[in-house]
Amino acid sequence: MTESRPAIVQGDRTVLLEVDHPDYAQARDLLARFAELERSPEHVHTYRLSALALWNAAVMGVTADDVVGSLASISRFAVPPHVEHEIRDLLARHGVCRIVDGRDPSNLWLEVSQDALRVRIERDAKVGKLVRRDGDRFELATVDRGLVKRGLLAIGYPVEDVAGLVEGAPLAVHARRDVFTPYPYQDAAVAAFVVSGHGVIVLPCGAGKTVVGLLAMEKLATRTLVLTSSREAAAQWKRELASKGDLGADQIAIYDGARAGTIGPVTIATYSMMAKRGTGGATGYKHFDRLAQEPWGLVIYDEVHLVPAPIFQLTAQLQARRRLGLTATLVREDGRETDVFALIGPKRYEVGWRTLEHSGHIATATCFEVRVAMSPGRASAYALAEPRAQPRIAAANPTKLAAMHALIERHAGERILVMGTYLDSLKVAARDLGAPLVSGATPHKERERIYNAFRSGESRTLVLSRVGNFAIDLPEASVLIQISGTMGSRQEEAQRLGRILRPKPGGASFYTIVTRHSCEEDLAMHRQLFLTEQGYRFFIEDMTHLPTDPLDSPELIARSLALPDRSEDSDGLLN
Amino acid sequence: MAFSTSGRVRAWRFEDLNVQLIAKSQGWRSKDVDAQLAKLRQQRADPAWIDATLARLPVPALALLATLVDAHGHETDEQILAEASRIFSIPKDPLVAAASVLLDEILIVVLTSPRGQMFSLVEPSAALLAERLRDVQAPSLPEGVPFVASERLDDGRALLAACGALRHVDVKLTQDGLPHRGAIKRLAKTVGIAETKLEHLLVLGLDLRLLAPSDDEGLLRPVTSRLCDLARGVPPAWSPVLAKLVETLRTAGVPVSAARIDSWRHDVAMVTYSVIPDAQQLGSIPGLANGRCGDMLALVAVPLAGSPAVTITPSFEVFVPPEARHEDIVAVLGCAELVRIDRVIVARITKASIQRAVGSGTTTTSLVASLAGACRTPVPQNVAAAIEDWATGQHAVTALGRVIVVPAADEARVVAALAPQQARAIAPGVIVVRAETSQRLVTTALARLGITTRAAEAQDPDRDGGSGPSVSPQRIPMLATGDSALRRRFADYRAGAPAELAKVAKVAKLAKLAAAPAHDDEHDDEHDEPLTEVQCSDRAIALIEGWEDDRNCRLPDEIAGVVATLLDVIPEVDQKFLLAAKNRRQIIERTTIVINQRGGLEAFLAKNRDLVSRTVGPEVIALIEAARQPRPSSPPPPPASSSLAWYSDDLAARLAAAARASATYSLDLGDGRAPTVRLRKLIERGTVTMVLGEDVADDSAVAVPLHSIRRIAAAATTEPPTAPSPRGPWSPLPGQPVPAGHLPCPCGSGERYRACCRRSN
Repeated sequence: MTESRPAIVQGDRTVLLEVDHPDYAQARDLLARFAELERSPEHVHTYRLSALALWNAAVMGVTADDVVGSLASISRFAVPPHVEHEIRDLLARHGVCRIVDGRDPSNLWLEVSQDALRVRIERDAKVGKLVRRDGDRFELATVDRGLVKRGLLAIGYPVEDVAGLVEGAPLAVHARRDVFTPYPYQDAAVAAFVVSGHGVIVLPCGAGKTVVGLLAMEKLATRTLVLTSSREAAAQWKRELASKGDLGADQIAIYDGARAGTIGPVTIATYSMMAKRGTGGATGYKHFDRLAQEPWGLVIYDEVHLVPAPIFQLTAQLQARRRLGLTATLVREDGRETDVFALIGPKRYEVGWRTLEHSGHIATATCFEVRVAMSPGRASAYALAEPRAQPRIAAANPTKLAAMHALIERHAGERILVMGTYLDSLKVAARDLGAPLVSGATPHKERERIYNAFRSGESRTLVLSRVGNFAIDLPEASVLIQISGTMGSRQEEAQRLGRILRPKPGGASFYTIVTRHSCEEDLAMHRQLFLTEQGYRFFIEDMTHLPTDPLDSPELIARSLALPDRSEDSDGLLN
Repeated sequence: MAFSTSGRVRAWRFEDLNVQLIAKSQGWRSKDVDAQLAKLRQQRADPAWIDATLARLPVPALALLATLVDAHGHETDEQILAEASRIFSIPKDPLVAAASVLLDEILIVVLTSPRGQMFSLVEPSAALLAERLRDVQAPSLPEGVPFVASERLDDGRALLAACGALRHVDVKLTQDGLPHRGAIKRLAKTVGIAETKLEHLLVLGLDLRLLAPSDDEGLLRPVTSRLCDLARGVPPAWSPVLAKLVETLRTAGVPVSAARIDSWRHDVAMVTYSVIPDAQQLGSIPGLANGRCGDMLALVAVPLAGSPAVTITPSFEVFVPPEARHEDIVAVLGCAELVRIDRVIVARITKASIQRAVGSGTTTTSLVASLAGACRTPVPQNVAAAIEDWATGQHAVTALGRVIVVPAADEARVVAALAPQQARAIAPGVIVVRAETSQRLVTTALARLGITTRAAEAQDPDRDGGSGPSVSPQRIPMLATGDSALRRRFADYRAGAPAELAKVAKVAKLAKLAAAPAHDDEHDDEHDEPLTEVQCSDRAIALIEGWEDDRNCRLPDEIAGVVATLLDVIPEVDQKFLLAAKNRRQIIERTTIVINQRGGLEAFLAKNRDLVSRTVGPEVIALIEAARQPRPSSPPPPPASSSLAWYSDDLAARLAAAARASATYSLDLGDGRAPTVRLRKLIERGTVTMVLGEDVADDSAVAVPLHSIRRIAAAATTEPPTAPSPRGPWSPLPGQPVPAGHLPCPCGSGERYRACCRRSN
């Protein structure tokens, strides 16, 4: 596409933007205001004029004329008439429903400017039960604020929520700018968030989302609850807040329901803790009920793409608090992005992976798919195995270890992470390499010790199970060798790459070792989709010349298959 | 009725003309009648005489003839007069006068039917008149008015994309010869275009023979070589119609080459069985474009342009922008699944799409090379590697009992996979497993290695030298470029040219008639004896017309005649039964039932043969009788010519007759297949004439496009003896609807149909 303008608006409301066009940057900036970047592979980026993106734009004051005019200015062909009509129709829906303060703190008003919609709301099976009509508006209980917003979004009407937010108890937090300087995009993200007080910020792994959380706390100066995906992540948050903020150790608490006194001005809890049921509270979730009584002014949802379903339900109760969602991959396999929009907030800020890579804020990564062969015995066992057993046979291919050694040799002197899903092969790898293994069974203190040893350079290679997928900060690692993965998970692939994206001079190398002629090839391709759509390119490296293990007999494989599947180790991502 | 059909024009047979009436009107002496008739017939078949007559006739007469030609030669007088008046903007009176002139010239006859007076052309002049007068009403393009092309975002790319997409999407051809609606609906939803638009594109693809049913599955598949030719602008040798069209447009310059679209419709439809059903769609063909000349729709040939502009991303998406070459669309869709037809055509390379491409005989190297040739940027390495990977996983494997034949390169893998079966290679690529190994186990093991058998694809008729159906380009009329003398005369008449007006005035009889009422006494006296007569009562005709008006449909003449006769001879209760029918199908069905219930056809005909004969003619009686006759034990003689270069109306008629008799023929389809088929009927739907029947081998339904039959030969019948019923079970006529199960059986047994003849059927 090398015509005079860089974009083409398709009939399905996608916009294809030519990256190599001279006017690309200008068009990208225009589109970023009202379109969602769906895919950004090489050469052509795909934006979507989704309803959520348009409503996000409307929140920021963008009008239908702005959108249509901008599209016309960058599009090589006239905007399809039906697309223009849809844009105007969708944007006209914004502001039709508004939630404002009610008679007293326990009630709110839902103002609806369209008669027909009022009738529809009254008759709606879900929303109709939560509201009571009072003239031209509806009254609703404050606790139903989130449910009403979600229900109205489901019927195609976003709610402009301008009801007051709970201020929360004040807490002075200052980022230590003598220790670090926030990146411009971090400041921009916080600025976009504090305007409305709720929303999601999407930044690549390693881009400093914890700092964004700290800056938001500084800006709002209020007590904060941080919800994370794991205890390691919680510890990391505490470490980051302590090192880059001026909070004392006693002001940051990691919530542990078993002990009293683990609630502080800044409290960090895990999703799984919050979702534990128990008696004695209003909602039936005892830890949530206990924490909800605290005067939080801000709730931060780390790795918002992992928020489990019960947390959405509970988040509906927290609509009076400011809410900040942080993620690198707003991809949910369960399709609950609309819940994120309605209950936590719209996407307020996003920066592409490659954009930060080009600007040097994250490491330049080169991705490889390394292919190795199976021994005849394993090939035979693989061919005759049931389909569900095949991934395990392919993943446990001992030739992968030979390839791993070759790669480690190639990157001698660098800090290397070896990651996998199946513990058996990880243990063998750790034994061969003489490197520590961190799995779910590793005590947390031991984990911290191993991580610290890796950070300090005491150990240069570290073997990690799935516990290393999220929220561990090992900025020194520059090479990651993935010897197995969880089926076709795109999210896992992206998060694993994120472990080595801290900026470093020599860039980072990401290797995925797959067994040739096995289902791993297809799974690997699916896993790579998210990253290729973000602009990463995978190079294929053929290592099928590596000798296979002559002792890798079908009998041994059958015996190993008889053992329980140890891939689901007890590390518990959400514990 | 005494009609013959030539092309799409039905004409009254010359030998069925009322000789006495003609002799009287022409003033022949009795002894000279035969000689004069022969002379008259010879004269009417002489093109020179036709041309001279047309030059002599006044414009209103020409208008009347042209309208009659457009109505396929046979329509009610009211309809013809109204249409001619509307189309040619001529008042009705001169047209009425012109009609009498045409009657005098014996170019038309007036018939009486339940629908009223009808005009009909007369053979042998009908065909010659049709040739000269079809589309004569289309005005010439205005001179000096530039051609303005429509906005051309489509420019033929959608046609190529829609046809190319069928390599990866299964769309069946229905018995009607059209793509399956459900499949179209699904595909339209997938690729994001309107269902009707996609249907038009696929039907156009069928018409242009860019799509063909695959041999083994009956699924529509693209014929790649033709798509490539079309995309590259190579003259489409497989379609003389299209070739002629393109050539005509290309050799003439704009605006001469631009033509009124209306003028194409009938011509092309007639010559090629609706090869191009809607001329507006011609603009969807690469190299042609719709546009306007002034206020007229026009068509023009445009050069195909473009450059390698395809983009393939590492995420396996393929973008084909508008500036890409047409041939690149074909190349891309050869190995990628269509995602969207839009301004940018979007496709996705998948494992299945690559395997289909390889299964159709393409090599990995050529796949990657064709993609690289289409791309503006290099094919990403991971995509190229995946293509190679997927392609090499697609091997033809032959498993014959305990012997498995694989490509030598895969031998080691397969031996390893089948080691528990004591597999060993006895020659390069030839593997033996132990005797008790089940075929299923082998297949499963190979499938797990990603080794499958080749997929079948549509046969490319061009590849094996088969030319398929064709039509002589000579039969394709030229574009209406205004050089026709007749067309000029119409223009002159409209402009009030004195010569034309004088010609009208010269005909004294016309002038007199023009001033007189449309049906004066003299005229009625002259034609008081219709050429054929119907003895149905006015009441019966009124009942039928009322029925037609109520349901806004029209019964075929034959059926209307039978129904009218029945109404005259059966009791009131049966009239109600007949006229309570909701539609044409029901009335035909009930008519059959009534005939059978009232003592069967024999009794009915014995009583009313004369009446029925005069009403509907012997052909219909034969048709009805065929329903009562047991099936012939031996097939009718095969067609005189057993080699079909192209199917003619004559052959189609003979096949239709054979189908009516349920005869069994062996049909050579030219691809090694020669099924023995019990013919059931011929249908002409859309653009394809289909022969329907049952394969005698397994009673499976067979639907074969007529043009795909290369040879035909009578086959020994394998029909079982007819049922031992005294009359034999009732079976529907070809094309005749089957009654609902709860209705009385048409055989007259008094049982319900489902309990009687439906069982034996």
